[in-house]
Amino acid sequence: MNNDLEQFKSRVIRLEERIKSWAEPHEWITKTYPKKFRDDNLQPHEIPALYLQKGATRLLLDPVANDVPGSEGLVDLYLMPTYDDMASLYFQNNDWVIHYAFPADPWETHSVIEAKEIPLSEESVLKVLEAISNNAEPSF
Amino acid sequence: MQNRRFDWHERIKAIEGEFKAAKLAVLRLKHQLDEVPNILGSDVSRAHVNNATINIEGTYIVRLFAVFEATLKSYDRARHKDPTRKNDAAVLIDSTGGRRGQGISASIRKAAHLVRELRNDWAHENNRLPIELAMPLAEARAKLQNYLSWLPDEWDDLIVL
Repeated sequence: MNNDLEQFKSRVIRLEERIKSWAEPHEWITKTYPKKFRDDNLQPHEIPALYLQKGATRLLLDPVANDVPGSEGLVDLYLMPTYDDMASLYFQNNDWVIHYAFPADPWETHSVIEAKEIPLSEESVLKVLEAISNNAEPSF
Repeated sequence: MQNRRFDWHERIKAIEGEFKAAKLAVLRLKHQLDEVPNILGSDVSRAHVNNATINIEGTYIVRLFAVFEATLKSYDRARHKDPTRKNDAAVLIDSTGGRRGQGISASIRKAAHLVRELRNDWAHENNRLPIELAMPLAEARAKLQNYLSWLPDEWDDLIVL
């Protein structure tokens, strides 16, 4: 595995450990699943993806790439089983940030929903997971 | 060797990513052509670029469905322990059982058939599909992923004869 991919794997594993430790006390059940990657020499490697489930809500934290413009890593959060895009996490300035568009407040007068960049923390992760759990509907 | 359903899901999602990248590239090229008309080589015309823009979603829907169909064929061969089995997608969508030995529900099968009809329309350039049955690639992906989620987590990988 080349150094960039090795570093990406380490960052993803650390990210997933943090999210597991924050989510599991709040009734999220988690399970890792090895995702296959190929390095620049087309050699196969595995980096874990993380399933999260709470009640009927199933999510997948899916490592996507280590070479993203403006970032040193991208992990997407999907609503399962449809793989609908919910949020993205970028590694920049030595930590992860979450890009997520919180649902519109029904009391707000403007209707434009824009993704916000939120620093990774226990509070922000739980807020995003709960918002998805409360609002997301599969697109099929 | 085992087939993992997770890997098939990921292949389908990866095609959606390729589609987004290809669409962005074609749209940027088309836009740039308005400013710098001579950037095309001698074997690419403006008409090619315009057609690529129009057809790119359909092209990737054909690829998306091809992976879905390959998944069903792989599972069907394993389920019947017969590497020679050949069924077309329409039959497989209806005959594939769920992970608990039950059939997959009618609404989920119907959704997969809608994507199959859309694929057929793009692949054979019929342009006969009623406009109300057209759907964006993301919706097609969701329907196919939902169907596949009813397959078992793993099944045997039989060499195709």
